[in-house]
Amino acid sequence: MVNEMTEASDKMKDRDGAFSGPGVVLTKEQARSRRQRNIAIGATIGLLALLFYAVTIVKFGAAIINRTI
Amino acid sequence: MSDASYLHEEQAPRISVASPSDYFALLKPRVMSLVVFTALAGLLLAPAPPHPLIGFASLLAIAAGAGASGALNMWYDADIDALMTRTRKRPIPAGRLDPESALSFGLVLATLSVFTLGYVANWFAAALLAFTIFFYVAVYTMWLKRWTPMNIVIGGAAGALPPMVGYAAATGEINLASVVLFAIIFMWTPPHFWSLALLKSEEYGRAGVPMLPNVAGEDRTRLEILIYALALAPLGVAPWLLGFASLAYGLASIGFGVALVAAAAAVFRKREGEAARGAARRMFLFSILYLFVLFLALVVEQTAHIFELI
Repeated sequence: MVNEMTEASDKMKDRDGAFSGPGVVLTKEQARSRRQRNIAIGATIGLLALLFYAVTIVKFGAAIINRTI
Repeated sequence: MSDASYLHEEQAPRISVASPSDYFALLKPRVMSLVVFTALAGLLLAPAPPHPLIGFASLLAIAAGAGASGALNMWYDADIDALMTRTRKRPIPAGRLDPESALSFGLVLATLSVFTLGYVANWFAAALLAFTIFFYVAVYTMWLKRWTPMNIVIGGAAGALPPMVGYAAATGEINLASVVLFAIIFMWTPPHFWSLALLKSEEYGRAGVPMLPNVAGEDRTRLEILIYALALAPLGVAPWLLGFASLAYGLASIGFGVALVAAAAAVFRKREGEAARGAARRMFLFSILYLFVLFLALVVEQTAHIFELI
């Protein structure tokens, strides 16, 4: 894996040694696991937001409809 | 410890290939399920149980706190986990996850769990959860575990606190009933883990963890198991004697308590060969069943009370 990354890194360098390519090229395994992690983080944050919303409604109780107009 | 030098270079991932399941494994799901179960028993003991959603969110926060403790434990213990067959397939020693990611994950989850419990329940329960995480990670994992054969006696307090956290989440305080549940798990922990240590003493020795059989010898360990079982059995009946559990619970706790002492006595008597290993294995497995039955009985009858079924 380290060798693959070094080769990809070499390909990205131009004559002056500066990076000009598309950046770090992930292997298939790295890309797949990153995608899985992103989905898991997204789903967790979404569910947490829903949970906090619902808990807030419950904690307010009937008072949630008492507001000045 | 948190040093990754025990990993082969090709194992140490530069860009993570860890899957969500590796992070889930960091939470020690089986320990987490026991924590949730015992915390639920504590929560249901409250005179006025909370709204179901608040109760659910509280248990979720407690579960996350337990998971965070597990992740931080695996971060710190990765070096010795790599030396034991029971633990070497964990994500860090197996090279699927780097220690720094586990540390970050554990710290974020610990913070999130404490503040979530503070918001959804109350800040007393949150402080108790924070103390539980601190005790498990700093006192047990970082200090006691590698230092003294009494590691699981004192460290067992961390595993025993969830019923008190559950009760505190529901009421904002602790009472005698929740302290009794704490005491049951506290007294249960040493004979449970020493039975395992009798089976795995070679591995613990290789990893340099001073478990009782390695330090004081197997005979002394067998005696301690019996003593703790004799103390635990009457303590298991206390919820009925103190009036916060039914007669059915009382009978179950007496029956299973007698069986637990019998299993411990078998460990004490059988000291050689396969018979000794079999007795230790039976004690280890039966102790799990014992604690499960006691807390299941409490959960079932408290649930029945809430729905006015009995």
